Amino acid sequence: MVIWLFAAVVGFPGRSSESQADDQRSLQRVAGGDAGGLGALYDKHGRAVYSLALRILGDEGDAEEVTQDVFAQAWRRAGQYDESRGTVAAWLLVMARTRAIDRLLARRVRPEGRVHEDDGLTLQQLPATNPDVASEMMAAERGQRVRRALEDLPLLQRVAIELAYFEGLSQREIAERLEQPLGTVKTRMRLGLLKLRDALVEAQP
Amino acid sequence: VNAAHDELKHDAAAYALGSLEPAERAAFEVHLATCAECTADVKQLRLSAGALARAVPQVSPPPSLRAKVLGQVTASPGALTPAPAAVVRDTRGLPAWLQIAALLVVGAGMFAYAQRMQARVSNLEAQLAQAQAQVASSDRLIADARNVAFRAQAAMGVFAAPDVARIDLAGQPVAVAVTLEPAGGVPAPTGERYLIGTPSPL
Repeated sequence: MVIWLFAAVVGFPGRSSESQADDQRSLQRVAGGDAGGLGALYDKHGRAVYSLALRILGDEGDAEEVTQDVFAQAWRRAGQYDESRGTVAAWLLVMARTRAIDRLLARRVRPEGRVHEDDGLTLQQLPATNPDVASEMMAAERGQRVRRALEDLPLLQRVAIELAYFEGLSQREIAERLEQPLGTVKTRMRLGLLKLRDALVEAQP
Repeated sequence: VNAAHDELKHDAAAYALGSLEPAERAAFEVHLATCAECTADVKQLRLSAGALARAVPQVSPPPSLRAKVLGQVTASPGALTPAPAAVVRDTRGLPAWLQIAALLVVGAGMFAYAQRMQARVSNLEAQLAQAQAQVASSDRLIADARNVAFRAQAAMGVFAAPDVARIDLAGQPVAVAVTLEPAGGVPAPTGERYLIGTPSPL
């Protein structure tokens, strides 16, 4: 049930299980030392991994390095992937988020850290080459739906969630930034996530 | 545990978003290991957190990135190798003949087991019948014994007054015995003696 919900939210509608089965086969090839399996995973998820890293870091060069790190990690840890904890796509994206945030925090400690840019700047870039146009379109549509659901949240809920997920701020830091009590921040983050989930599940055909 | 739960359950959302501070995360994970409620909660909240990763504007990386990604794992095979022993269990990947062979082995095992169980059942049935026969014969012996006792009581019934007079203990007998005799009595005991004893003062 949870797996299904997860697939419904994160996977491809109507072909999520098929897509996940393909990914698992690719990952098995990777675990056996077959670089072709890694190529298949990159062709399918490289763009999503890169886009997430770019959204968090705001820099193409950093996003490229994070993407390389993520697939290097997938190459080393293919045997440790646990299907019960989510799809291969979700596994790759969690790694991407973690690595990008690590970089962001390290940059924040050092003085040369740059100001986070608005992601609107990168919207204009077009997909140049993609092997799977149909699933790309579905991914884009789903991404839009999630974005709309996020935009529909009350401001405090949305900002708290975005600061936590894309900026890697702790609850305390968010409370300071938004000048809200810590307890309020915790409650708003939770409410926002639950509403987001409801919106996503309802939007399923 | 309950006090910890009341305090830590409010961290589930931040945990799902991956934004707890290291110490907070460690404390939450300790609690998570023993709390089914928070575990279920985190699973739900992670659905949304995962969806956030997809909500960002999708941007294609430069085509050169693919070569870099694959180059780093193929260029120096010794430097970067996948972890050994891919523990991915996928029964769909088993060849058909192996699946059929496995089914046959299991089936044969089940058949042999069923045969053994059937043999044991008939053995137990035989033992039960034997025991029932023994009980029946014991019942018959008990009934016979009851009949003997009943007939003895009947003989007591013909213990007539003259007989009692005849065994008047006033004549200083040295011993007494009871015999079974034809009804009406006989001048001297002829049957087997049953109760043998010597009189003693009360």
